[in-house]
Amino acid sequence: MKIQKFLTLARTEMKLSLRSFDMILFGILMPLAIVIVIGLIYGGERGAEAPGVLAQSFGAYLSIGICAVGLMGMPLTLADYRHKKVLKRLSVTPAHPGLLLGVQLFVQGLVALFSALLVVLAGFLFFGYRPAGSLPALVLAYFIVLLSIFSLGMIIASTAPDIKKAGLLCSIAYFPMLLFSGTTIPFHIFPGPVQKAAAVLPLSQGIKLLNGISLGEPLSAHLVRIAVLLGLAAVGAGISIKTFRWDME
Amino acid sequence: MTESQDTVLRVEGLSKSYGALRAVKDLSFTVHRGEVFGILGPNGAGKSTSLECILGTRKKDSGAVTILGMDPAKDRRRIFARAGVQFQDSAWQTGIRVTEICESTACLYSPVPEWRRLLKKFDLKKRENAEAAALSGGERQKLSILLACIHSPELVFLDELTAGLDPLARRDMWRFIKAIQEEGTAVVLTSHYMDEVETLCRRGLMIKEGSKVAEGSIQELIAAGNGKNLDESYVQIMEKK
Repeated sequence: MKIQKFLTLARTEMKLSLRSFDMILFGILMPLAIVIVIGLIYGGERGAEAPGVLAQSFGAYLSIGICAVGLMGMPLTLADYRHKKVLKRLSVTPAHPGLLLGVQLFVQGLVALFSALLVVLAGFLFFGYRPAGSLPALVLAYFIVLLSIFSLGMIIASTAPDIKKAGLLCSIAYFPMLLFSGTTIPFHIFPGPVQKAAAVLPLSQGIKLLNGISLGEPLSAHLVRIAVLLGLAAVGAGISIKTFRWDME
Repeated sequence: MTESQDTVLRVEGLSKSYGALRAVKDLSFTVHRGEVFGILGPNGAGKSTSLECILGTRKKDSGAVTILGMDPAKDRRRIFARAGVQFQDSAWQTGIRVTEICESTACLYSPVPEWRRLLKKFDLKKRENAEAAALSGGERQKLSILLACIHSPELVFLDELTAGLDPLARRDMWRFIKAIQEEGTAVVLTSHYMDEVETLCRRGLMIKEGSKVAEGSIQELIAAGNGKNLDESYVQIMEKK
Protein backbone atom coordinates (compact mmCIF):
# COMPACT_ATOMS: atom_id res chain seq x y z
CA MET A 1 0.00 0.00 0.00
CA LYS A 2 2.74 2.45 1.03
CA ILE A 3 4.89 1.51 -1.93
CA GLN A 4 1.86 1.88 -4.24
CA LYS A 5 1.32 5.40 -2.93
CA PHE A 6 5.00 6.20 -3.46
CA LEU A 7 5.03 4.87 -7.02
CA THR A 8 1.81 6.66 -8.01
CA LEU A 9 3.27 9.98 -6.87
CA ALA A 10 6.65 9.22 -8.40
CA ARG A 11 5.10 8.38 -11.77
CA THR A 12 3.22 11.68 -11.89
CA GLU A 13 6.25 13.67 -10.78
CA MET A 14 8.44 11.91 -13.34
CA LYS A 15 6.02 12.83 -16.13
CA LEU A 16 5.95 16.44 -14.94
CA SER A 17 9.73 16.62 -14.75
CA LEU A 18 10.08 15.25 -18.28
CA ARG A 19 7.55 17.77 -19.56
CA SER A 20 9.75 20.67 -18.43
CA PHE A 21 12.87 21.14 -20.48
CA ASP A 22 15.06 22.77 -17.78
CA MET A 23 16.10 19.56 -16.13
CA ILE A 24 16.90 17.85 -19.40
CA LEU A 25 19.13 20.77 -20.35
CA PHE A 26 21.02 21.28 -17.08
CA GLY A 27 20.87 17.82 -15.61
CA ILE A 28 21.41 15.69 -18.69
CA LEU A 29 22.67 17.64 -21.70
CA MET A 30 25.18 19.84 -19.89
CA PRO A 31 27.22 17.04 -18.25
CA LEU A 32 27.16 15.19 -21.55
CA ALA A 33 28.41 18.26 -23.41
CA ILE A 34 31.22 18.82 -20.90
CA VAL A 35 32.52 15.27 -21.14
CA ILE A 36 32.43 15.39 -24.92
CA VAL A 37 34.22 18.75 -25.07
CA ILE A 38 36.91 17.67 -22.57
CA GLY A 39 37.30 14.41 -24.45
CA LEU A 40 37.70 16.22 -27.77
CA ILE A 41 40.26 18.62 -26.31
CA TYR A 42 42.40 16.15 -24.42
CA GLY A 43 41.57 12.80 -25.92
CA GLY A 44 40.48 9.95 -23.75
CA GLU A 45 43.48 7.67 -23.65
CA ARG A 46 44.63 6.64 -20.22
CA GLY A 47 48.41 6.84 -19.95
CA ALA A 48 50.14 4.27 -17.80
CA GLU A 49 52.04 6.89 -15.79
CA ALA A 50 49.89 9.97 -15.91
CA PRO A 51 46.20 9.28 -16.41
CA GLY A 52 44.59 11.39 -19.13
CA VAL A 53 42.52 14.41 -18.26
CA LEU A 54 39.28 12.58 -18.92
CA ALA A 55 40.32 9.67 -16.74
CA GLN A 56 41.64 11.88 -13.99
CA SER A 57 38.42 13.84 -13.56
CA PHE A 58 35.88 11.28 -14.62
CA GLY A 59 34.25 11.28 -11.19
CA ALA A 60 33.79 15.01 -11.58
CA TYR A 61 31.79 14.59 -14.78
CA LEU A 62 29.63 11.98 -13.11
CA SER A 63 28.78 14.45 -10.38
CA ILE A 64 27.78 17.42 -12.56
CA GLY A 65 24.36 15.85 -13.02
CA ILE A 66 24.06 15.18 -9.29
CA CYS A 67 24.84 18.81 -8.62
CA ALA A 68 22.50 20.28 -11.22
CA VAL A 69 19.60 18.07 -10.19
CA GLY A 70 20.22 17.92 -6.44
CA LEU A 71 21.12 21.55 -5.82
CA MET A 72 18.97 23.18 -8.50
CA GLY A 73 16.28 20.96 -9.97
CA MET A 74 14.94 19.35 -6.82
CA PRO A 75 14.94 22.33 -4.43
CA LEU A 76 13.56 24.66 -7.09
CA THR A 77 10.77 22.19 -7.91
CA LEU A 78 9.67 22.05 -4.28
CA ALA A 79 10.05 25.83 -3.86
CA ASP A 80 7.84 26.25 -6.91
CA TYR A 81 5.24 23.90 -5.40
CA ARG A 82 5.32 25.97 -2.22
CA HIS A 83 5.01 29.19 -4.21
CA LYS A 84 2.07 27.82 -6.23
CA LYS A 85 0.35 26.60 -3.03
CA VAL A 86 0.56 22.98 -4.14
CA LEU A 87 2.21 22.14 -0.80
CA LYS A 88 -0.45 24.07 1.06
CA ARG A 89 -3.10 21.89 -0.57
CA LEU A 90 -1.11 18.80 0.40
CA SER A 91 -0.81 20.08 3.98
CA VAL A 92 -4.52 19.37 4.44
CA THR A 93 -4.18 15.75 3.31
CA PRO A 94 -2.52 12.89 5.23
CA ALA A 95 0.69 13.31 3.17
CA HIS A 96 3.87 13.11 5.27
CA PRO A 97 6.72 15.54 4.43
CA GLY A 98 9.04 12.54 4.22
CA LEU A 99 6.87 11.04 1.49
CA LEU A 100 6.99 14.22 -0.60
CA LEU A 101 10.75 14.64 -0.12
CA GLY A 102 11.33 10.94 -0.77
CA VAL A 103 9.38 11.04 -4.03
CA GLN A 104 11.42 14.03 -5.23
CA LEU A 105 14.65 12.34 -4.19
CA PHE A 106 13.68 9.24 -6.13
CA VAL A 107 12.47 10.98 -9.28
CA GLN A 108 15.24 13.54 -9.50
CA GLY A 109 17.77 10.90 -8.48
CA LEU A 110 16.71 8.91 -11.53
CA VAL A 111 17.32 11.96 -13.72
CA ALA A 112 20.83 12.33 -12.24
CA LEU A 113 21.47 8.62 -12.71
CA PHE A 114 20.39 8.81 -16.33
CA SER A 115 22.81 11.71 -16.82
CA ALA A 116 25.65 9.65 -15.27
CA LEU A 117 24.86 6.70 -17.55
CA LEU A 118 25.04 8.96 -20.60
CA VAL A 119 28.39 10.34 -19.40
CA VAL A 120 29.77 6.82 -18.99
CA LEU A 121 28.41 5.80 -22.36
CA ALA A 122 29.79 8.87 -24.12
CA GLY A 123 33.20 8.36 -22.51
CA PHE A 124 33.28 4.79 -23.71
CA LEU A 125 31.78 5.19 -27.19
CA PHE A 126 33.58 8.36 -28.26
CA PHE A 127 36.89 8.07 -26.43
CA GLY A 128 37.16 4.45 -25.42
CA TYR A 129 37.37 5.41 -21.76
CA ARG A 130 36.62 2.79 -19.10
CA PRO A 131 36.97 3.43 -15.37
CA ALA A 132 39.98 1.53 -14.04
CA GLY A 133 38.43 0.72 -10.68
CA SER A 134 35.78 -1.79 -9.71
CA LEU A 135 32.38 -1.00 -11.18
CA PRO A 136 30.29 -2.00 -8.10
CA ALA A 137 32.53 0.23 -5.96
CA LEU A 138 32.01 3.11 -8.39
CA VAL A 139 28.23 2.62 -8.35
CA LEU A 140 28.23 2.54 -4.55
CA ALA A 141 30.38 5.67 -4.36
CA TYR A 142 28.07 7.36 -6.85
CA PHE A 143 25.02 6.76 -4.68
CA ILE A 144 26.85 7.96 -1.55
CA VAL A 145 27.72 11.23 -3.29
CA LEU A 146 24.19 11.53 -4.69
CA LEU A 147 22.59 11.13 -1.26
CA SER A 148 24.90 13.63 0.43
CA ILE A 149 24.48 16.34 -2.22
CA PHE A 150 20.72 15.75 -2.46
CA SER A 151 20.43 16.07 1.31
CA LEU A 152 21.86 19.60 1.05
CA GLY A 153 19.32 20.33 -1.66
CA MET A 154 16.57 18.91 0.54
CA ILE A 155 17.45 21.31 3.36
CA ILE A 156 17.06 24.20 0.91
CA ALA A 157 13.86 22.65 -0.45
CA SER A 158 12.37 22.36 3.03
CA THR A 159 13.31 25.70 4.48
CA ALA A 160 13.34 28.25 1.66
CA PRO A 161 10.44 30.61 2.40
CA ASP A 162 9.87 31.73 -1.17
CA ILE A 163 11.02 31.01 -4.67
CA LYS A 164 13.44 33.95 -4.83
CA LYS A 165 15.26 32.92 -1.66
CA ALA A 166 15.29 29.33 -2.85
CA GLY A 167 16.93 30.48 -6.09
CA LEU A 168 19.50 32.44 -4.13
CA LEU A 169 20.30 29.57 -1.75
CA CYS A 170 20.55 27.16 -4.67
CA SER A 171 22.99 29.46 -6.45
CA ILE A 172 25.05 29.86 -3.27
CA ALA A 173 25.30 26.08 -2.97
CA TYR A 174 25.59 25.24 -6.66
CA PHE A 175 27.98 27.67 -8.28
CA PRO A 176 30.89 27.53 -5.80
CA MET A 177 30.73 23.76 -5.91
CA LEU A 178 30.54 23.77 -9.69
CA LEU A 179 33.57 26.08 -9.89
CA PHE A 180 35.77 24.97 -7.00
CA SER A 181 35.00 21.29 -6.38
CA GLY A 182 36.58 20.11 -9.58
CA THR A 183 33.46 19.48 -11.62
CA THR A 184 34.36 21.79 -14.46
CA ILE A 185 37.86 23.04 -13.58
CA PRO A 186 40.17 20.22 -12.42
CA PHE A 187 40.76 20.57 -8.69
CA HIS A 188 44.54 20.05 -8.87
CA ILE A 189 45.20 23.13 -11.00
CA PHE A 190 44.01 25.50 -8.22
CA PRO A 191 46.71 27.11 -5.99
CA GLY A 192 47.22 25.42 -2.62
CA PRO A 193 45.19 27.80 -0.39
CA VAL A 194 42.21 27.65 -2.77
CA GLN A 195 42.40 23.86 -2.72
CA LYS A 196 42.41 23.88 1.08
CA ALA A 197 39.40 26.17 1.27
CA ALA A 198 37.48 24.27 -1.41
CA ALA A 199 38.17 20.97 0.29
CA VAL A 200 35.47 21.71 2.87
CA LEU A 201 32.81 21.68 0.15
CA PRO A 202 31.04 18.32 0.32
CA LEU A 203 31.16 17.95 -3.42
CA SER A 204 34.98 18.28 -3.35
CA GLN A 205 35.10 15.25 -1.09
CA GLY A 206 32.52 13.47 -3.23
CA ILE A 207 34.53 14.08 -6.37
CA LYS A 208 37.78 12.97 -4.69
CA LEU A 209 35.97 9.76 -3.81
CA LEU A 210 34.56 9.22 -7.31
CA ASN A 211 37.84 10.13 -9.03
CA GLY A 212 39.78 7.87 -6.70
CA ILE A 213 37.49 4.90 -7.29
CA SER A 214 37.38 5.41 -11.05
CA LEU A 215 41.22 5.53 -11.08
CA GLY A 216 41.32 2.13 -9.40
CA GLU A 217 41.61 2.91 -5.68
CA PRO A 218 39.63 0.68 -3.31
CA LEU A 219 36.71 2.03 -1.23
CA SER A 220 38.74 1.31 1.89
CA ALA A 221 41.13 4.12 0.95
CA HIS A 222 38.26 6.59 1.45
CA LEU A 223 36.54 5.42 4.63
CA VAL A 224 36.64 8.77 6.46
CA ARG A 225 35.33 10.56 3.39
CA ILE A 226 32.51 8.02 3.01
CA ALA A 227 31.57 8.35 6.68
CA VAL A 228 31.45 12.15 6.42
CA LEU A 229 29.31 12.05 3.27
CA LEU A 230 26.88 9.51 4.73
CA GLY A 231 26.72 11.51 7.96
CA LEU A 232 25.88 14.61 5.94
CA ALA A 233 23.14 12.71 4.11
CA ALA A 234 21.58 11.53 7.37
CA VAL A 235 21.75 14.96 9.02
CA GLY A 236 20.35 16.65 5.89
CA ALA A 237 17.46 14.20 5.64
CA GLY A 238 16.65 14.67 9.33
CA ILE A 239 16.77 18.47 9.15
CA SER A 240 14.71 18.64 5.98
CA ILE A 241 11.92 16.43 7.35
CA LYS A 242 11.85 18.29 10.69
CA THR A 243 11.85 21.78 9.22
CA PHE A 244 9.61 21.14 6.21
CA ARG A 245 7.49 24.21 5.38
CA TRP A 246 4.15 23.74 3.66
CA ASP A 247 3.41 27.38 3.04
CA MET A 248 5.23 30.68 2.75
CA GLU A 249 3.35 32.64 5.44
CA MET B 1 -25.33 10.57 21.10
CA THR B 2 -23.17 12.46 23.59
CA GLU B 3 -22.22 16.05 22.99
CA SER B 4 -18.60 15.25 22.17
CA GLN B 5 -19.46 12.58 19.59
CA ASP B 6 -21.89 14.92 17.94
CA THR B 7 -19.40 17.78 17.65
CA VAL B 8 -17.11 17.72 14.61
CA LEU B 9 -15.61 21.18 15.10
CA ARG B 10 -15.17 23.28 18.20
CA VAL B 11 -13.57 26.74 18.10
CA GLU B 12 -13.02 28.67 21.32
CA GLY B 13 -11.65 32.20 21.65
CA LEU B 14 -9.76 32.16 18.34
CA SER B 15 -7.71 35.33 17.73
CA LYS B 16 -5.20 36.34 15.11
CA SER B 17 -3.42 39.65 14.44
CA TYR B 18 -1.18 40.82 11.65
CA GLY B 19 0.87 43.51 13.36
CA ALA B 20 -1.62 46.13 14.53
CA LEU B 21 -4.46 44.66 12.47
CA ARG B 22 -6.65 42.32 14.50
CA ALA B 23 -7.89 40.02 11.76
CA VAL B 24 -9.85 37.61 14.00
CA LYS B 25 -11.12 38.55 17.45
CA ASP B 26 -12.16 36.00 20.05
CA LEU B 27 -14.17 33.80 17.70
CA SER B 28 -16.08 30.83 19.16
CA PHE B 29 -18.53 28.38 17.57
CA THR B 30 -19.38 24.71 17.28
CA VAL B 31 -20.35 22.56 14.28
CA HIS B 32 -22.28 19.32 14.65
CA ARG B 33 -22.10 16.09 12.74
CA GLY B 34 -23.92 16.16 9.41
CA GLU B 35 -24.82 19.86 9.37
CA VAL B 36 -23.91 22.57 6.88
CA PHE B 37 -22.52 25.60 8.70
CA GLY B 38 -21.89 28.96 7.04
CA ILE B 39 -19.31 31.60 7.92
CA LEU B 40 -20.64 34.79 6.36
CA GLY B 41 -19.12 38.18 5.94
CA PRO B 42 -17.88 40.66 3.34
CA ASN B 43 -14.48 40.38 1.67
CA GLY B 44 -11.74 41.15 4.16
CA ALA B 45 -13.91 40.34 7.20
CA GLY B 46 -11.54 37.55 8.25
CA LYS B 47 -13.37 34.49 6.90
CA SER B 48 -10.39 32.91 5.19
CA THR B 49 -7.98 33.84 7.98
CA SER B 50 -10.34 32.21 10.52
CA LEU B 51 -10.56 29.10 8.38
CA GLU B 52 -6.79 28.86 8.02
CA CYS B 53 -6.20 29.35 11.76
CA ILE B 54 -8.77 26.62 12.44
CA LEU B 55 -7.06 24.24 10.02
CA GLY B 56 -3.63 25.03 11.38
CA THR B 57 -2.26 26.15 8.02
CA ARG B 58 -1.78 29.54 9.68
CA LYS B 59 -0.62 30.02 13.27
CA LYS B 60 -3.29 31.38 15.58
CA ASP B 61 -2.31 33.82 18.34
CA SER B 62 -4.66 32.34 20.93
CA GLY B 63 -7.69 30.12 21.30
CA ALA B 64 -8.42 26.42 21.10
CA VAL B 65 -9.57 24.36 18.10
CA THR B 66 -10.71 20.74 18.03
CA ILE B 67 -11.45 19.03 14.70
CA LEU B 68 -13.09 15.60 14.98
CA GLY B 69 -11.92 15.54 18.60
CA MET B 70 -8.28 16.21 17.68
CA ASP B 71 -5.85 19.13 17.83
CA PRO B 72 -4.85 20.28 14.32
CA ALA B 73 -1.39 21.33 15.53
CA LYS B 74 -0.61 17.79 16.72
CA ASP B 75 -2.79 15.44 14.68
CA ARG B 76 -2.58 16.93 11.20
CA ARG B 77 -2.36 13.64 9.34
CA ARG B 78 -5.05 11.86 11.34
CA ILE B 79 -7.46 14.78 10.99
CA PHE B 80 -7.04 15.15 7.26
CA ALA B 81 -7.45 11.44 6.68
CA ARG B 82 -11.06 12.13 7.72
CA ALA B 83 -11.57 15.80 6.82
CA GLY B 84 -11.24 17.61 3.49
CA VAL B 85 -10.42 21.19 2.54
CA GLN B 86 -10.94 23.34 -0.53
CA PHE B 87 -8.89 26.53 -0.45
CA GLN B 88 -9.80 29.65 -2.35
CA ASP B 89 -6.45 29.74 -4.10
CA SER B 90 -5.96 26.10 -5.02
CA ALA B 91 -3.28 25.47 -7.57
CA TRP B 92 -1.48 22.60 -9.15
CA GLN B 93 1.86 21.62 -10.57
CA THR B 94 2.69 23.16 -13.96
CA GLY B 95 1.61 20.91 -16.80
CA ILE B 96 -0.34 18.42 -14.65
CA ARG B 97 -3.50 16.87 -16.13
CA VAL B 98 -6.85 16.34 -14.44
CA THR B 99 -6.54 12.57 -14.10
CA GLU B 100 -3.01 12.92 -12.75
CA ILE B 101 -4.17 15.32 -10.04
CA CYS B 102 -7.01 12.99 -9.05
CA GLU B 103 -4.78 9.93 -9.05
CA SER B 104 -1.99 11.53 -7.03
CA THR B 105 -4.45 12.99 -4.52
CA ALA B 106 -6.46 9.79 -4.13
CA CYS B 107 -3.35 7.70 -3.48
CA LEU B 108 -2.66 9.69 -0.30
CA TYR B 109 -5.64 8.07 1.42
CA SER B 110 -6.12 4.52 2.51
CA PRO B 111 -8.04 2.73 1.26
CA VAL B 112 -7.47 4.56 -2.04
CA PRO B 113 -10.87 6.07 -2.94
CA GLU B 114 -12.63 5.52 -6.27
CA TRP B 115 -12.51 8.93 -7.94
CA ARG B 116 -13.67 8.26 -11.51
CA ARG B 117 -17.34 8.38 -10.56
CA LEU B 118 -16.71 11.83 -9.04
CA LEU B 119 -15.38 13.09 -12.38
CA LYS B 120 -18.75 12.17 -13.89
CA LYS B 121 -20.67 13.62 -10.98
CA PHE B 122 -18.85 16.93 -11.39
CA ASP B 123 -19.20 16.88 -15.15
CA LEU B 124 -15.42 16.84 -15.60
CA LYS B 125 -15.21 13.47 -17.36
CA LYS B 126 -14.86 15.12 -20.77
CA ARG B 127 -11.95 17.21 -19.45
CA GLU B 128 -10.06 14.38 -17.79
CA ASN B 129 -7.05 14.60 -20.12
CA ALA B 130 -6.91 18.39 -20.10
CA GLU B 131 -4.15 20.25 -18.33
CA ALA B 132 -5.41 21.83 -15.13
CA ALA B 133 -4.17 25.20 -16.39
CA ALA B 134 -6.46 24.90 -19.43
CA LEU B 135 -9.65 24.50 -17.37
CA SER B 136 -12.13 27.34 -17.10
CA GLY B 137 -12.55 29.09 -13.73
CA GLY B 138 -15.68 27.10 -12.98
CA GLU B 139 -14.05 23.80 -13.91
CA ARG B 140 -11.05 24.54 -11.71
CA GLN B 141 -13.36 25.33 -8.83
CA LYS B 142 -15.25 22.08 -9.35
CA LEU B 143 -12.00 20.14 -9.50
CA SER B 144 -10.74 21.61 -6.24
CA ILE B 145 -14.03 20.75 -4.51
CA LEU B 146 -13.90 17.25 -5.99
CA LEU B 147 -10.42 16.82 -4.52
CA ALA B 148 -11.55 18.05 -1.09
CA CYS B 149 -14.30 15.40 -1.13
CA ILE B 150 -12.38 12.62 -2.88
CA HIS B 151 -12.11 10.48 0.28
CA SER B 152 -15.75 10.94 1.43
CA PRO B 153 -14.70 13.04 4.45
CA GLU B 154 -16.77 13.32 7.64
CA LEU B 155 -16.18 17.06 7.61
CA VAL B 156 -15.29 19.27 4.68
CA PHE B 157 -14.21 22.94 4.67
CA LEU B 158 -15.09 24.91 1.56
CA ASP B 159 -13.73 28.45 1.14
CA GLU B 160 -15.95 30.43 -1.26
CA LEU B 161 -17.25 27.31 -2.92
CA THR B 162 -19.10 28.93 -5.80
CA ALA B 163 -16.76 31.85 -6.49
CA GLY B 164 -16.38 32.14 -10.24
CA LEU B 165 -19.20 29.75 -11.12
CA ASP B 166 -22.06 30.62 -13.45
CA PRO B 167 -25.64 30.29 -12.10
CA LEU B 168 -26.14 26.80 -13.52
CA ALA B 169 -22.85 25.51 -12.21
CA ARG B 170 -23.65 27.02 -8.81
CA ARG B 171 -26.87 25.05 -8.66
CA ASP B 172 -25.01 21.88 -9.64
CA MET B 173 -22.63 22.54 -6.78
CA TRP B 174 -25.49 23.10 -4.33
CA ARG B 175 -27.01 19.78 -5.35
CA PHE B 176 -23.71 18.11 -4.70
CA ILE B 177 -23.32 19.72 -1.26
CA LYS B 178 -26.85 18.61 -0.37
CA ALA B 179 -26.08 15.11 -1.54
CA ILE B 180 -22.93 14.77 0.57
CA GLN B 181 -24.76 16.26 3.54
CA GLU B 182 -27.45 13.61 3.17
CA GLU B 183 -24.72 11.00 3.26
CA GLY B 184 -23.70 12.42 6.66
CA THR B 185 -20.83 14.78 5.83
CA ALA B 186 -20.67 17.99 7.83
CA VAL B 187 -19.76 21.08 5.78
CA VAL B 188 -18.20 24.35 6.92
CA LEU B 189 -18.37 26.91 4.15
CA THR B 190 -17.51 30.57 3.81
CA SER B 191 -19.64 32.68 1.55
CA HIS B 192 -20.96 36.13 0.86
CA TYR B 193 -23.83 34.90 -1.30
CA MET B 194 -26.89 34.87 0.94
CA ASP B 195 -29.05 32.84 -1.47
CA GLU B 196 -26.44 30.11 -1.24
CA VAL B 197 -26.36 30.22 2.54
CA GLU B 198 -30.16 30.13 2.79
CA THR B 199 -30.31 27.16 0.43
CA LEU B 200 -27.54 25.12 2.00
CA CYS B 201 -26.93 26.00 5.63
CA ARG B 202 -28.83 25.06 8.76
CA ARG B 203 -26.81 27.39 10.96
CA GLY B 204 -24.13 29.99 10.56
CA LEU B 205 -22.41 33.03 11.91
CA MET B 206 -21.68 36.46 10.54
CA ILE B 207 -18.34 38.15 11.03
CA LYS B 208 -17.44 41.75 10.50
CA GLU B 209 -13.90 43.10 10.91
CA GLY B 210 -12.87 39.86 12.56
CA SER B 211 -15.62 39.79 15.21
CA LYS B 212 -18.73 37.67 15.40
CA VAL B 213 -21.82 39.89 15.01
CA ALA B 214 -24.56 37.23 14.77
CA GLU B 215 -24.90 33.49 15.16
CA GLY B 216 -27.62 30.86 15.05
CA SER B 217 -30.08 29.16 12.73
CA ILE B 218 -30.93 30.87 9.45
CA GLN B 219 -34.17 32.18 11.05
CA GLU B 220 -32.18 33.58 13.96
CA LEU B 221 -29.71 35.22 11.59
CA ILE B 222 -32.59 36.83 9.67
CA ALA B 223 -34.09 38.02 12.97
CA ALA B 224 -30.75 39.50 14.05
CA GLY B 225 -31.24 42.19 11.41
CA ASN B 226 -34.60 43.62 10.49
CA GLY B 227 -34.80 42.20 7.00
CA LYS B 228 -37.47 40.07 5.32
CA ASN B 229 -34.81 37.61 4.22
CA LEU B 230 -31.17 36.79 4.93
CA ASP B 231 -29.88 39.11 2.26
CA GLU B 232 -31.63 42.17 3.74
CA SER B 233 -30.67 41.30 7.30
CA TYR B 234 -27.07 40.70 6.27
CA VAL B 235 -26.84 44.11 4.62
CA GLN B 236 -28.39 45.80 7.67
CA ILE B 237 -26.06 44.04 10.09
CA MET B 238 -22.96 44.76 8.04
CA GLU B 239 -23.84 48.42 7.45
CA LYS B 240 -24.62 49.09 11.11
CA LYS B 241 -21.88 51.27 12.67
